[in-house]
Amino acid sequence: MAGAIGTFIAGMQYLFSNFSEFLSLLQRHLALVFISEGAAILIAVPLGVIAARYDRAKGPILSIGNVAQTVPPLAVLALAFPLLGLGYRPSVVALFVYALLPVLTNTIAGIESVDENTIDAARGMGMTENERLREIQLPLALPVIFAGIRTSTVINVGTAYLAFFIGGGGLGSWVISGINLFNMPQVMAGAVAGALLAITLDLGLAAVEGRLSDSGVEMTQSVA
Amino acid sequence: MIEFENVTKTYSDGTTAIENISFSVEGGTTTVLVGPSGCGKTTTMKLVNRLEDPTDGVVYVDGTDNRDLDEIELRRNTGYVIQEIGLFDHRTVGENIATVPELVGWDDERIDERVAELIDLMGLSRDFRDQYPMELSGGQRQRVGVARALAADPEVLLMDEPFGALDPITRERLQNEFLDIQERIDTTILFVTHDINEALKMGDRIAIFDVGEVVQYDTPREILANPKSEFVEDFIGEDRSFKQLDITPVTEVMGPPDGEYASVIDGSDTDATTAADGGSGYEGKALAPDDSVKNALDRLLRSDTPALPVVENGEVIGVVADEHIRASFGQRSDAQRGAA
Amino acid sequence: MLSSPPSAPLEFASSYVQYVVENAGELIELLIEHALITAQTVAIAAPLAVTLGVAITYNDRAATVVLWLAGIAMTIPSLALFGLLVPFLGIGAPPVIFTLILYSQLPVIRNTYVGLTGVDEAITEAGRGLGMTQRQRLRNIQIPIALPIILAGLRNAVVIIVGVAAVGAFIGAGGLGELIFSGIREGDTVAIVVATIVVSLLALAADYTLATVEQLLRLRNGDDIERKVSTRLVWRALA
Ligand SMILES: Nc1ncnc2c1ncn2[C@@H]1O[C@H](COP(=O)(O)OP(=O)(O)O)[C@@H](O)[C@H]1O
Ligand SMILES: [Mg+2]
Repeated sequence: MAGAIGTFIAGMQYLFSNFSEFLSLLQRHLALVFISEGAAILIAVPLGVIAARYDRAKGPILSIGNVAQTVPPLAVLALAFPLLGLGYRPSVVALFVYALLPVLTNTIAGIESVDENTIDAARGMGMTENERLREIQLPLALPVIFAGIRTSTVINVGTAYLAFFIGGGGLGSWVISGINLFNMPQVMAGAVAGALLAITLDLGLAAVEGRLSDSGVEMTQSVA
Repeated sequence: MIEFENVTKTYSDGTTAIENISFSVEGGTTTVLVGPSGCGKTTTMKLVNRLEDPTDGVVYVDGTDNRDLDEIELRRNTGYVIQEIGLFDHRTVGENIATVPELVGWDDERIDERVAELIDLMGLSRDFRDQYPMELSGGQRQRVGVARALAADPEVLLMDEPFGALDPITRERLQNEFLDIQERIDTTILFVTHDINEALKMGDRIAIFDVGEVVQYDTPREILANPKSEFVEDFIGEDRSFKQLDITPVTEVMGPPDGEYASVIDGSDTDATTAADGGSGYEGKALAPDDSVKNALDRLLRSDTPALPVVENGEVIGVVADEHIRASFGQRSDAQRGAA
Repeated sequence: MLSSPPSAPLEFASSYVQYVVENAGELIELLIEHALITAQTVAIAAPLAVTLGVAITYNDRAATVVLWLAGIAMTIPSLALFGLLVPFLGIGAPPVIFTLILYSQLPVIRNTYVGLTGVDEAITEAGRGLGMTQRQRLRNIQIPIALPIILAGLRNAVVIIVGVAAVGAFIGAGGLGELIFSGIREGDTVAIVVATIVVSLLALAADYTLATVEQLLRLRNGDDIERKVSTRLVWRALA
């Protein structure tokens, strides 16, 4: 315990004495996460909405999604290398692919989970398909969709560390070279920054969700 | 006005839910579909607002084949209380009720007034307006469901077992309230239930369903007096006579006020307390014209006089005694036998 | 495109087959290593998480704190945690297993907690009425009903464990991650792809097995579900 605290303090000292390097690593890390996650959300949510409408598309997308989610993050990044080469861009693409699935499957599952009777009532009241989607299904699915986005974002921050293996840069640089050089303060400095980033993003997204939903629907934690 | 003409509905999985049914709902009246669960009542209802389309036959709404109507517009003009209520959990009670008025583009002020009016009409407290459905009891949810269906003044109202999931006391209260509301609105109502007593109580006309077909379509009294088949008879139950008494007003059996009972009722108080008023009903001896014969019989059995006055506006218009009830009943069974 | 010989895809595939054949021994060895790390982790992590999940049903505040901590643990980058544990646990499997245990807590604790607290009041109430002690209610009513949900959490955890264990090769824990890292170093696409497929198959196999168990438990609870082929086979064999 004392050792851990010592390492932590040494880590913070390392961070502040290398602050400008830290900032550039953090900036690169943020770019990796924001671009890949943003693109994933922009594509996965509409795709999930479309898929949820077509019974025939839904099943296959969900099963492929569930299988694809078992591919380890390291493998996704590693595969980007032979396909796209080394560097920042291949890393963004790999992170994007990896972030896509939780959002996609949760969007479909969220829309699916809306009570059949609620939809029947909306239909019976003369809502068009678009009105139903906009006013009933999406708002009710929001907690599940957001659960997907939050999970995906937290995982993305962690996975982005591995991007350094294929030359993507980011905070992984400190952690990996720190391990190689047995420089524990450097590892600690890189780790703490990422953990704080993940927690901040998660809380931020929770706040956005609270804003968006602003209703009596209880936040349901996704189970399984 | 809704008319079913030889309508058959077979679902894509091959289930024939209803087969060749015909009946109609007169404008401004209530027709009840009654039958055991799974006999096709909900399906029949969904055919009206085109949540389903018939495989065969035609459903006319105000004389037009409803497949020629725009389905969205048709549904917005048709109130629909679905069996499971289906309130929108993410919207407040007020927002739930405002759904269709908003869809059809009423201005905010009008919507606001209408929502307040309906909340009052359904006997809900105004505080509920900003609450979410999950905070309500079963009975309150049902009321919101009905209010939501009535919101845009629909010409046709479809109610699928609206009081089905309620305890008997709440159900009876809502039934009575709805009968009141029904008198105040000029809506064509199609009402579904599996409870024959509810059907007899709520319906101007009743269509009795057996698996997928209408076996009798008549007024409640006609159904009680002349059940067309053993199925209908069984469905009505053992206490058919009681049910008849229940839906016959005393005015139909009473004798003249100046006959042999004149002395008995002379000087009795003329404050009619009807059972429907919610009072215990036994304090006053006088009956109101819309009291049921069953009510009269009940009070006769409990009172120490052989006859009860029927009072309208403080004036005795007739008397009911044991023999009147028996006589009218006898006549009716005679007529039945004669007709058979 | 047009000029490419018809045998190209075949050649392409054959390089993979050749790789698998030539390295079958090493592949199997690494696969076993990987599976062992996973199994060791699960053997410690599952009882620990279930115990914690059960314990926090008695105290709402404890539940909030424990779930929050387990959530925080997941935000620490795995690679960094491996590295930070090396001074304490040495290189190799121990720091990796320790990290994986930490990582797998959230899904299992959360599902245990949600599963147990989600049991219909009326059912536990009935158990009380029948004179069951709190312990008996937990063992005979709540846990059997919650078990499929707990298992769903374990499935999540196992997929995470198999995936993160691959990174553990970086600090010498072995397993299929070794092939991925050496593949990246040497630019060996075939090695990367084969290793990826084998790791994924391992995760899928574990997931599928647990999903089958989950379905069997659901069937035993009388749920009506769409049965997997494996579920149908086992269910019939048991009947
Ligand atoms: N969407 C559907 N697809 C297939 N069969 C259906 C569907 N809806 C209802 N049914 C079947 O049609 C029959 C009548 O159902 P329903 O109209 O709901 O009866 P009720 O409302 O009288 O209980 C039942 O056998 C039911 O299973
Ligand atoms: Mg029904």
